[in-house]
Amino acid sequence: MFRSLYFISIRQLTGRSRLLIMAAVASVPILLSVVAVLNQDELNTAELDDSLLALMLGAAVLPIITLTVATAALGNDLEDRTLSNLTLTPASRWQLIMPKLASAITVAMPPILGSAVISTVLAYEGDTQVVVSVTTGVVLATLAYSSVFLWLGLTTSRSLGYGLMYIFLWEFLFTGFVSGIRFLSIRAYMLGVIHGVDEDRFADDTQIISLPVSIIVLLAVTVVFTVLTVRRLRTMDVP
Amino acid sequence: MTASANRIAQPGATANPVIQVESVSRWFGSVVSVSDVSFDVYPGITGLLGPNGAGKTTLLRMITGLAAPSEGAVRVFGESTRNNPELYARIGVMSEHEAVYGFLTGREFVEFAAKMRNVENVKQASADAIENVGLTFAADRKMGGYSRGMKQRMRLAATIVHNPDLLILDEPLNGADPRQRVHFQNLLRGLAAQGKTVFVSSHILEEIETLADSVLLIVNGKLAASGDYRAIRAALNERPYHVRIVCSEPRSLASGLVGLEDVDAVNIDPDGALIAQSRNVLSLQMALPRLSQSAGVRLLRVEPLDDSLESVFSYLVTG
Repeated sequence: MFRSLYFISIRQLTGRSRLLIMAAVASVPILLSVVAVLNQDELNTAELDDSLLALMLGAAVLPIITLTVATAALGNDLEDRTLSNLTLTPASRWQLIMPKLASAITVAMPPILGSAVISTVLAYEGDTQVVVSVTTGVVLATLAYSSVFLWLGLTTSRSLGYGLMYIFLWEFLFTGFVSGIRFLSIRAYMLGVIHGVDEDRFADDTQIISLPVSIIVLLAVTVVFTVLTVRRLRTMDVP
Repeated sequence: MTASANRIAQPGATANPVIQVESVSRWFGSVVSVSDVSFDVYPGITGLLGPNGAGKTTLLRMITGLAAPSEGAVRVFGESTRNNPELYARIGVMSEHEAVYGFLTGREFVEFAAKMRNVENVKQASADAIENVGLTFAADRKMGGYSRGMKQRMRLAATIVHNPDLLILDEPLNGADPRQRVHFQNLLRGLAAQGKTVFVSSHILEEIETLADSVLLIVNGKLAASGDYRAIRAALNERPYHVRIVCSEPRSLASGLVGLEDVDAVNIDPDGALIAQSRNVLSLQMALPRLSQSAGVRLLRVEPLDDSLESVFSYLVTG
């Protein structure tokens, strides 16, 4: 049952227009890295961390790609009214939500990881430790964002609009510039993982959340929003 | 025939009804979609009949567990369908929407439905279900290219693939051509003959008349009548029909019409057309040409005024 729904969902989520949008968004950090390589004298490491990791990857590419995919994972079924094809089966709500989450992560992960790995290899001159730390942070943050946006897609028909507002107003603006509320930002915990895994390089940054806390919070967000999605599917009227 | 007379007795009815609807209401804000509806359904084919917007789909959604009643209770096989997915192993539901995955072939669609219902021999069960709906020839084509009728039939195949004891079908004949309708009806009769329960909704009187053993009539969210179709039909036959007649000499024709035994009353509407009221509309139809010819009146138009389902229902509701 898991396998069937998982593969159907993958096919639902890999429409040509969605893939093109994801490719376009994922290419932006790579272009930024190319620019950084070409202007090596003008950018220091802190600026690169801010512009590439904190802003471009953490506050734009990663959430936008997961938003595009994860809101559609259940949102498409709601919109075209195929959700009842799933809920009117003997499958428990968990058995419906887990393949949907897994398919969203499967589709979102390659462009996000590709973008993160290529851009960090370029910008940080192939530093393996940076690539490992960025990969770890991006993977955990993708899990968290996917579960949040999966829930959003089942909760409102305007999930893309609300998701974009959340990304730009909250993750990009408020928590980017008001340090006191960064504890309410997935991006802050992603940066906590990146900096925690590569302590030698980023240890002097006092704004960063510790590695254990970051990992626990990102996993907790994933679990909590998955539970909320299951609960939502149990209580909602299915169109 | 009132809303309270709503326990459907069917030939071969068992002690336990398959579907029990008890004082169910559903409202959306201040709009009442279904109001205090109660009935039981037993094995065989039961039709849920009502005009568009009467509340049929809302009622079916509550029976299938897709929506919760605002008040009252629904039980299927003695259990609530809400948050009870195990029950769907015994139920097949076909909604009114053309909800298919256009990128799948018909066979893939039915096999997916079979896998989601833990059917043991997926390939064989799917092939049998597709053959049952007569679509084996199109099974390996993408569903996005199917006609509406074909989509409906393939959806029916997906609905019956796990051999459910109860089938709930919302307007299943929409988009089907006459040949497909006959095929559909024969298939449903065959399932009912096997002891299954088929609960089917429609807004078309004739569709239910030819298919269902028993009917539930719903109008404005309320149960207007229920029971054996023939009893309801007899009640309908007692109702006077109104026929509007446009002719060259209304007063001359009116004097002739009032002399007919089967005409109860004749009025002239503001446009000068005659409104004849009769309990035997066939007799009126036969007499009208002869009468107009003898009176030297030219008939311009003859039209029934209350042939629609809505008028039938309002008659049943208001008496």
